[in-house]
Amino acid sequence: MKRSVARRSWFLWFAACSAVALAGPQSLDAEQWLSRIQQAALKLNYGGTFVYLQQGGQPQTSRISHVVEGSQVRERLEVLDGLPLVIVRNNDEVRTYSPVTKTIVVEKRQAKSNFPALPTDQVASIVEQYRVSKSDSQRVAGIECQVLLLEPRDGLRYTHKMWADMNSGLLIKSQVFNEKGEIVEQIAFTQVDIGGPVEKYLPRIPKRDGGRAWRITTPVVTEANFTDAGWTIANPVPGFRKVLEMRRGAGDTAVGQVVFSDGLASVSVFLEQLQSAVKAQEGLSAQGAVNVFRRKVGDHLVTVLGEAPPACVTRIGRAVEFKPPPR
Amino acid sequence: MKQENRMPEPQDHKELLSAWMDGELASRDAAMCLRSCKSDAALTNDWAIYHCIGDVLRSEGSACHSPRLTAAIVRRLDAEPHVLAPAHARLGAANGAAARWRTPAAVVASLAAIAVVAGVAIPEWTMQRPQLASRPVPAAVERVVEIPAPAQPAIIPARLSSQYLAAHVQYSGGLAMQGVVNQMRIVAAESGK
Repeated sequence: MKRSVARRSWFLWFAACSAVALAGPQSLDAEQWLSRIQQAALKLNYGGTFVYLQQGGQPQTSRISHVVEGSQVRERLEVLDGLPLVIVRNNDEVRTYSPVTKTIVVEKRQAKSNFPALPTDQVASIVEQYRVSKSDSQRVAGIECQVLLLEPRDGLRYTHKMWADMNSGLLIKSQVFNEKGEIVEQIAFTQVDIGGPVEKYLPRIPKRDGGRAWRITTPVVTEANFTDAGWTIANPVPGFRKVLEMRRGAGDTAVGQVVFSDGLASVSVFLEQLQSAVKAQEGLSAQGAVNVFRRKVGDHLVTVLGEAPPACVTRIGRAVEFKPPPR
Repeated sequence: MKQENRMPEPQDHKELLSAWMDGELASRDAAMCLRSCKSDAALTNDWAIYHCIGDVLRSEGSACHSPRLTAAIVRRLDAEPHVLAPAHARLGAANGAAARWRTPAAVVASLAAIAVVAGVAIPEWTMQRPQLASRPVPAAVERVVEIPAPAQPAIIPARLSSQYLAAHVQYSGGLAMQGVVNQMRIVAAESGK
């Protein structure tokens, strides 16, 4: 089943490539464009400056470089506004350098996870949950772009609008809209070099020596099975599939995390023991496209967080149940 | 008789505290020591004073910050509305005896931010001895101001916990540039503090 989906998607990707070769990118349909955008992000070298903005926030300018050598991916991001921050991703490892506090946080993505789900599965999953359509072409940051619209088939997801480079397929601009049609989040290159050298976009990795020592923090993440531990998270939102579960930390203060994704949006469910000292506030909260829903389940605290509308995180949160397993 | 099975006397607490500061305490004893500190204000005060003494001994100038600084920061934090705060500031904290007292950079970062808000310089010890200095912080960060829960699901504009966000974005997928968007969400959450 999975294999046939993969084969079908590979076929789509192959068809997309052939179509580009034969008739130019304009002839691609919306679904082929999605595959193209996805592949471009994985395979292209690029560097540029972009601005990120979320509803009610300040625009934030950053510089990024993305270099692919064989199977190795190096991505570097430097935040240019406000507090300095450099984020370096080497394949599955992300290091966040914070020069002000002289700390480096090293996070390693769990090797044994279904994520990223076969990249080819992703497009199929997106098309199931969103109506994808091609719009006109527009110029962004001096680049002629194909505009794509992804509208959810239900009220449990956001609408996405994407601008992709006509030539390479790289995403140049992206907007997320809520159900009222307001932009909740936007990211857009103001300047970008695609396929060329990226040296001028490389951040200076803060020096580790000199002055005070840098402190390195590595969060401990282990595999977990919360179903065996008595948790049920029924899946009330169509299309959201469990991609992995893990435990962060150890002992009484360990926090469980279960991640769901519909291909485009993802939602994390955090499970932790209520600490008597904490007055846990139940309810809903938002920042840009990210919504958080929190409730108590027995003597546990359940926090649902994801780039999905309030209705979605609330539904997932309400579906969480706990029954202590028989000893 | 095994040393670690003995219930400590009040005087022992001070010695344990001292040993802990010198990094000579087994993790189990350290955990007990921490519990004692949480429940015993006098012990917490001793902790601050010991550090002050240590700072003065180690430095040439006046490196000591008044223990009242911590209290002042905690008071300022209490006054801050926290609609949603992590139950554990140690979310994702490192394991192992040596690493047990490390907290995520976010906590230190928030302390730095608080220090700036409070109009004080960032205390030296938050940098030099983070494994010790970080302890008072979680207690402060954990406080959540009561707000009435909305009858209808409605968006409450609020600063999100950047730690949950950080844990989430590692595994949230999506299309191109979305990894970047995810990182930017954390940056926005951090700078919104």
